[in-house]
Amino acid sequence: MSSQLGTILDFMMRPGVEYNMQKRKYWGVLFHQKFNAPLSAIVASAFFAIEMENVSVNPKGQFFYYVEDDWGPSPYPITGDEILSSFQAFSPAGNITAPLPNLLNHIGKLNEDVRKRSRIIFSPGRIEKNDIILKFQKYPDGVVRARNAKIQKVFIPVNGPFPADFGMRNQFYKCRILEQLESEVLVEVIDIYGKVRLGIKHSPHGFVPDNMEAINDLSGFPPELIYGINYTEPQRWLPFPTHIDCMMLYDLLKVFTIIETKFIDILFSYDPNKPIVIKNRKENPLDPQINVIVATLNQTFGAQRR
Amino acid sequence: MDMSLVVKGQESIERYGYDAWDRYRYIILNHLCTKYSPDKLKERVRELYFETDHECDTPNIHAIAEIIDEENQLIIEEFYASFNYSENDIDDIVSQYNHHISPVIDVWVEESLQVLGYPYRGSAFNSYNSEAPNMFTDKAQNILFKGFL
Repeated sequence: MSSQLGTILDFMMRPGVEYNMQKRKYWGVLFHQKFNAPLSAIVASAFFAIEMENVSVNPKGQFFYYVEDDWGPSPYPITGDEILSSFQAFSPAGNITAPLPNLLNHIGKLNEDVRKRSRIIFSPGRIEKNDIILKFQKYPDGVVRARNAKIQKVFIPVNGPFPADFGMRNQFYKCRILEQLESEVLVEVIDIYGKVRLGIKHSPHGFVPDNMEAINDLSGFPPELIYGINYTEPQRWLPFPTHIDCMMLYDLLKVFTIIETKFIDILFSYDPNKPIVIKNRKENPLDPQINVIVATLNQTFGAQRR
Repeated sequence: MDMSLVVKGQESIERYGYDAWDRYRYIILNHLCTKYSPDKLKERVRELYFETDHECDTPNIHAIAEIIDEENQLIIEEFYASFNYSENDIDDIVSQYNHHISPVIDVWVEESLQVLGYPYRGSAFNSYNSEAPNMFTDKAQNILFKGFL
């Protein structure tokens, strides 16, 4: 067993031990092979599963189990197939690419009490009463017009957060109606629609329905605690705001530090009760691939505790 | 007579004519809490979410939907009564409302709660199809693998 692989497995084990504290018989790494696929190393608890793909060496040790061999029984109450099927059943609505060192640094700087009462929130924001969603097109005369005959005047702020190819892409924009006349409407372009942001939120008053709308909107968040902007072509609707326990995500993100990855992709689904998936972005093909699937929090109730 | 009803009646005549059924369409589009006026529905759902007595539990969508349904029926009755429609005619219109609108108010309330991001109990989607996802469960933490607990 290479020392590097051993270290990676140790890193995977750490959250497995911490979140299976009540049932010590679940401490272990499960090696699983599906048909002729390469080996996968799996660590799981009730709340998450970590998978490392393409494990080339079969390590042996007190907490390492290989079900199809004679190393010992599975450490887990469910099979490797059942655990891996949760990854396959996941259907993403979009993803955010976040810089791992920055994210870890910001969460790590938080006082431990604050970290325990914080959440990571993925939110598309919301549409206000006077907002409308429009597409734009650049005409041959160089003028950008809305693809809606009623919208005759468009006010585009000079310092707006728009890409240089505004109006060229097949992109929706969130606009606010400034003036509504009989035959024409004047709108101000506010933002790109289909943007999902990730924010770290500590709410001293808890996460209750009273403050949930502002929290889900990420309003009042310091800009440095908002990460990753994801531009997606909105299909039927944007995902609902999704909450993850900050402490648990921090523990899981630390697993990725062993492979020195700079960016992670966080995939989320439309349903806030469905889990999210985190993957490392490979910088070269030989880098190990680590996938994590983690259950979300109910928005207005307490966090899981170790 | 309630003057706001007179104003509503005048508006209804201007827009939809004198016919009782045209007025019914008018009142649905403009004055009832339905999906056809989503902002009004959302605001009322939000108010009722905090006002209704839910016995210290997560609010139930049926309790909210029931109040909205009753309020809508009352508006219809008062509106037509103010124009001296007979009780039979009013009953006809209310039963029309009960047939078309009442059964789906639960679903509209649930959609509004999803937009607001509030948790709730009694998903209408789930009662029809147990496989359908409940967008907001009333458990504290969603569990990925129950076998570990």
